[in-house]
Amino acid sequence: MNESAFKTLLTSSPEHPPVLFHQRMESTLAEIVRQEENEMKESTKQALKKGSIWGSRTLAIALLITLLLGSVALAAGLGLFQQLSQMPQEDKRLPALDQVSTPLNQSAATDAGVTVTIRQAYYDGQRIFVSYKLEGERVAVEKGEGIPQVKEWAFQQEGMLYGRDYDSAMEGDEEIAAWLDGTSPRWARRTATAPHDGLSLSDGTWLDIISGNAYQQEDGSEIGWKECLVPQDKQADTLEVNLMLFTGATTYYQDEQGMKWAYERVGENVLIPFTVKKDSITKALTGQADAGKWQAKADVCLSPVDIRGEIVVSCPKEWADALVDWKENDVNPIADWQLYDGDTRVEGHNLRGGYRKQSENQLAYSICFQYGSDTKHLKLVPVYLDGTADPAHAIRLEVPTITYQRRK
Amino acid sequence: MQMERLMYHVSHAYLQNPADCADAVQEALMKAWQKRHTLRDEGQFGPWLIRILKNQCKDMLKKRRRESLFPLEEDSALQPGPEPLHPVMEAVERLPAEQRLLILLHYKEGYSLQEMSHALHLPAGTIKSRMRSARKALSRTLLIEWEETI
Repeated sequence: MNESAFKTLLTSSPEHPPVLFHQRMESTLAEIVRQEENEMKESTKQALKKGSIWGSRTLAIALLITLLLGSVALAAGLGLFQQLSQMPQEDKRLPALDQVSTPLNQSAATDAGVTVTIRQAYYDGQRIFVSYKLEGERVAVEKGEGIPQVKEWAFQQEGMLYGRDYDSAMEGDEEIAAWLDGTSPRWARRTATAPHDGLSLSDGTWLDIISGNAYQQEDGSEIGWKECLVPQDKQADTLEVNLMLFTGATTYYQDEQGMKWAYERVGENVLIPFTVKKDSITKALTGQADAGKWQAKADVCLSPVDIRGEIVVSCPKEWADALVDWKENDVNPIADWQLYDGDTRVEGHNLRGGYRKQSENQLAYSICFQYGSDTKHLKLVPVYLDGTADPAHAIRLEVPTITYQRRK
Repeated sequence: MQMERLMYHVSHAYLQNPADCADAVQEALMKAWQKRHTLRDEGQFGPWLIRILKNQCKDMLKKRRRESLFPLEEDSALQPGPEPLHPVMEAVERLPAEQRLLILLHYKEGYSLQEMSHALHLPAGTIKSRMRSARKALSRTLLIEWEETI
């Protein structure tokens, strides 16, 4: 083993401040602040009695508290997930992800000098979340006169003019449109490097993306995050994962007749391997409800980031007709679910609201709520198509009980 | 690296148990608060806090050793064993606390010699010699080819 392999192994090990450590640090600092407030109140009383001033001592203490709290605020608040959470309309789960994810800083670069760094990763047993940063010249535009060499044109349209009738909504469009003005045969090529949508396991299994976003920064870099699903038969305590960086070139040709474009991959994909370890805090919860007309069974996963899973409802055939096949009938099927903690509804809507027909008499509903608290009183309340909630037939979520059978 | 991660690494290097690390950081913060008048230079706040934390961890280790001489009665056979570690982590965990901390700070967190010297309030020479000893110990089990930047 060389020093670099040793470093990689150490970096990928999941040794990071656990939630317990962070919480204890925060609660201790909160206690210190409370003590300081009490002391200040007392000092004020004494000062008023004695007519003295306590300014300088308080100033020194305030500085110390700022230093202490600043340390925690930095630790808790400057990860990339946290930075991404400050983007408008971003996913509300990102601050929690910042707390529980493992810092990685695994990098790789393309031959053209584009570097991708995986900054944080989190694996709850079913999904992998990563935050990453892309640096270097990610998009390059080349231009030329005449007809370019391409393997095969993927698209061609007579009478179409780039910039007037067509744009790709990608970086460099303005420059390309200014060049391809249709006055003479010209071409432009945009070469772009980007991470693949999903992730892959070391055995090649593809992990589909569920959600994510990417943003260009003022310094030209790009930051982003992804949430990818691990197939059930591949879920394990530790996974070797790859983020894949690929480069592609789109060549546009414009002449007086019209426009054409061709696309081809450039060079080899660059893999950035990293290891994730399952978070042991994540819990599987199940529950059932029977309303007579319908019966439901929920299988969900409660992680520090969210609560998500599926509810399978056995119901009249007409429900699927109305919801999935858009047939008009008089039924009032379950259309969505709300999360309750005890008798209080948890704020926020179902992030993955949706349903699919599992069979003629079964509908499967996806649920995902931003909720990281551990509680024993979680309930899923059905909401019918007409908007009414039905707390009387809620599904109570519990840790599944395992029954052991004595061997004969 | 942020203060919280540094405090975690320091406490974990000595105590190797998340619950004890949380206890140690709580005690250290409260002690720092009680001794705040002894901090003369705010620029030295980090190294000062780390010194308090290291002392706290050492106290807890001493207490742990005393207790292990008079163990409480419990059926250790019923306790679940610790999760098996990767051989590399296992070798690192076997290092003495001071060496383990330097290896983690340098290779895992990317600390330079100067940064470790400032954060831990240790002379550069001490860090170099501890790093040499740590590499030597690791080489016995892991056969690593070191580049020895520090």
